[in-house]
Amino acid sequence: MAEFNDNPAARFDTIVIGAGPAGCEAAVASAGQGCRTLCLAINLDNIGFPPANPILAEGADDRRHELLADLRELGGALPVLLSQESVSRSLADGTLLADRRNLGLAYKELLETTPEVFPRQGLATSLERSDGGWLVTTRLGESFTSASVVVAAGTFLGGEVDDGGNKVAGGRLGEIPANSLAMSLRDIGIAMVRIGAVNMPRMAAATLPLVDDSLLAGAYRFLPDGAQLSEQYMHGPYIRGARAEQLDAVRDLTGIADAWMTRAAYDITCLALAGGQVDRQLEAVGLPGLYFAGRSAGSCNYTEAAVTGLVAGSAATSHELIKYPVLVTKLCEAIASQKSRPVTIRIDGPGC
Amino acid sequence: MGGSFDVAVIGGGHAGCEAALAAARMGCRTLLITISLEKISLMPCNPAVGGVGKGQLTREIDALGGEQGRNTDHSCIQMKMLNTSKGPAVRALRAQADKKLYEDNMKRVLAAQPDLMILEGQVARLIVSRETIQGVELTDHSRIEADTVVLACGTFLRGNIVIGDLKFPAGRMGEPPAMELSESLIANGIELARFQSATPPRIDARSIDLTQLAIEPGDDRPEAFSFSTTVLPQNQVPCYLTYTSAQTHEVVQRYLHLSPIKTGSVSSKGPRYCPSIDRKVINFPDRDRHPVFVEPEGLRTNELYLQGLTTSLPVWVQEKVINATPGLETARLMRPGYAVEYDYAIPSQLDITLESRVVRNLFLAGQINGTSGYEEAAAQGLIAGINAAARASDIDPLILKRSEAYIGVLIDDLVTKGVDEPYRMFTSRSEYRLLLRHDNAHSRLSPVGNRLGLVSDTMLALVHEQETAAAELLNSLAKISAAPNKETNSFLAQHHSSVLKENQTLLQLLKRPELRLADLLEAFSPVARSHFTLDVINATEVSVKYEGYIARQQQQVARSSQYEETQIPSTLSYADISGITLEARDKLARMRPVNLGQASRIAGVSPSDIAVLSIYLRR
Repeated sequence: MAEFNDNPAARFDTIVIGAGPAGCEAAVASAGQGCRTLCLAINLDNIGFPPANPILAEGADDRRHELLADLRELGGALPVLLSQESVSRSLADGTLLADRRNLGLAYKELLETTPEVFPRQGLATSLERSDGGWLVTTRLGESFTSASVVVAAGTFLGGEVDDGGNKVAGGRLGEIPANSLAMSLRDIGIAMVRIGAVNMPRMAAATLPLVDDSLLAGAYRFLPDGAQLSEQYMHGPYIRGARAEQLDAVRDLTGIADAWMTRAAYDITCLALAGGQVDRQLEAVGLPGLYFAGRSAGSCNYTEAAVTGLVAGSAATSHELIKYPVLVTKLCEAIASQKSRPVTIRIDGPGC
Repeated sequence: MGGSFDVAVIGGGHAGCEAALAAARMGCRTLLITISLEKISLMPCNPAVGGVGKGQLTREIDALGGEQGRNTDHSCIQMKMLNTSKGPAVRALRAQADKKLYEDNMKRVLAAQPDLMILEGQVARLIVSRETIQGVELTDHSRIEADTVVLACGTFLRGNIVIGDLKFPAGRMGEPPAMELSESLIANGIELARFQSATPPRIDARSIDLTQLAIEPGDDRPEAFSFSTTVLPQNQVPCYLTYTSAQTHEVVQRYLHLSPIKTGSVSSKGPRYCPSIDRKVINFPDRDRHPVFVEPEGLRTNELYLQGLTTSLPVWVQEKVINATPGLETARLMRPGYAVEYDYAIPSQLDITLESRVVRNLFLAGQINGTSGYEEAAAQGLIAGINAAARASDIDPLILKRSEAYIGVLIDDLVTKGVDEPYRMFTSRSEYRLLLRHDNAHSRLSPVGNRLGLVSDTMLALVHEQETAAAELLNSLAKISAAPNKETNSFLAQHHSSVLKENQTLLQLLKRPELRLADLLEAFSPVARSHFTLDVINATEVSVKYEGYIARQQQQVARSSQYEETQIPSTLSYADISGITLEARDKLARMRPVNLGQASRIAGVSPSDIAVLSIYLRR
């Protein structure tokens, strides 16, 4: 039972639900307007953490480079964090790789040191209109009120994880989902669709014949991922099947009989906005003060999630209509319309 | 899948990491399986390693070639030797650690270890055939073949989080529990019971004025856990101390009916020595204040751990309790405290080697055996890993005696006496605590580690070097004299010691309780002071000051060694022995102690039963 917290400490200007890249950028953007911003994360240890793909931009032609430049101009945090030593590296072909762990830690440090941002561990379970604003309740019965809410719940919204043997509710492997929140959004009239993503395998670097820290094998590219555990991320067409099958496939592909897979590929599906739910400022149609960002809004990669976070966080707190650079606008329009899936402008073509 | 392993370790926490590293270092093809590779060697509770009893365990882990001591040194943000004004038996090292650094450092060590593979996966079932482990099956139905398995899955087995009147399945906050493995354990004859553990809230450092709290600094000249550590990280940070007040207790009292202790939604035992504030207010009503240590969780975070305010009261009550505590009136919660209930495997079902007595080649280590604490877990993990490797390599297992190590005390207590609450190590658990000291752990155990291949010859040589230096220092103390002059007597007066009327050697002066060897050397032989390390000076000092007591404990060891060394054949039929009670017969048959000493510690076996058994064995 929710114990309504009558306490001014529970009142905020903005509540951001989720602390992945979208949530973090939204929180920082909101706080940048001087707004008291609560940022709820299911697990404070996973703030900002890219769970899957370490690739923030692939090759020199990836338009995400442009997006990052736009983000930097708009005062977004990600480009600044990426310039920290040990957070990212650029490959010879222009591919930008994140050190996922260090990027997450950098975002965590940022949230915890940005004035007006209040990070808090909590699982939001319901969202309701209240007194002209919003009331967010958590599983543990905490209640918070705000004028605006940014939903940036990533793969956790109605998340389901399929590890090739079992389908379980989960935001990621080994993490709980946000199912009640999904139902709550439905209750206030938000239409959502189920979208999918695949978390690709990781290999033990020591077992692969790497050249300059990477390896090309068939349609796949193995890239350094996880400096601490010395793993390689397997990038390429989705791979599926039982773990043993995946391992055999990689061993065949690379010709290395002893290649070792530390993490197998698994499928995630989750809920995201259907078309027409938000406008170009990412505000919910007919529900003023409610914004969506990141995968919850329909974007499908880390960089674009960060951009939408900044847009949503700024829109939630700024009284002026912000004019964004062309590419950012294009991304937001794609999200608003959801005409094609996956929603991305990273290259002029399909794929994520 | 992936071929067969010599040792498979389930769980990448403190126990699992030690087990995996030890087995790989002993040359076994080893696999570490854990639910999330992002959460290796997590410190989900106190951001600290060591303390009274625990510090001795960590030191011994280092002496044997385990990793916890080294890892702690590399990630420490404060180091403190406790009880320096008390006897050497209770002197223990305690470190505050940067949690993220601790995890990352351990990950690097695992990744760099030859013969060790890591796998992200969740174990659902043990594969057992003819009462012997064959491997494990994961939730995705993959099968891993292994000759031996070490089970070190912490608090995840059928875990439930309890806060106020809320109860929901979880291994830790935000993480689902492991549901299937418990069934598999039960199906294979392993008896489980329930314990609970709890963690306090974390607050935002920006929300309080730290200058209002008392500072608890680390040591000026910090020591290290590991022999291999030459330099400790330079950025030491202080902890802070405040106390609860009558007002705090009043708030707890007002809402105590909402505590799981009162509502009964948690019925299992929690750690006695880590009580919640709810428990403290109930059990200690005349205490007008309890200490609250405010501990930073790392260098790059503003999360502060509130040691002393562990609770599973509803979150909104937690906030009221914190804000009613002096110094924390404006504190903002970042994470709530909570309790977690979980399955553990009754440890008296284990052999003294930590091998299960119902499933051959299966070893259990860590919180799953009913212990609490990272150090207790790591110590068991090290031994389980060593013994799994020993079994896979067909060599003798390692059994440490109670007189050799706290690790020996820990395992003997668990296996012989079982547990009725989460077990935490204390120096008072050892009858030989004057012999099992921080300063002599490496002398005791590094030769053992070296024989196993876990301690290098170079490291062992360093240990011997230090022993030689200590002997040299001891020798020289008898040869350096202090004359009864003005300087000497002024030094003595300064240290509240009586004046000299005639020459005395430093050895004689050292016997005075109020004089410390480091000070004596600085005053009377500065060359010696700079020549010998602090470790050597401390070790020598103890051997002189406590000579009599040490000798007495060594005699005790000799006397009881007769029982410790009288082996009991594993095939002995207790039913054939007349003159022992039915209860003793039943307990002995079930527990299968390996020697008379262990037998004598089993509850329900009396001295006269031991006497009868002793005579029977001699025939």
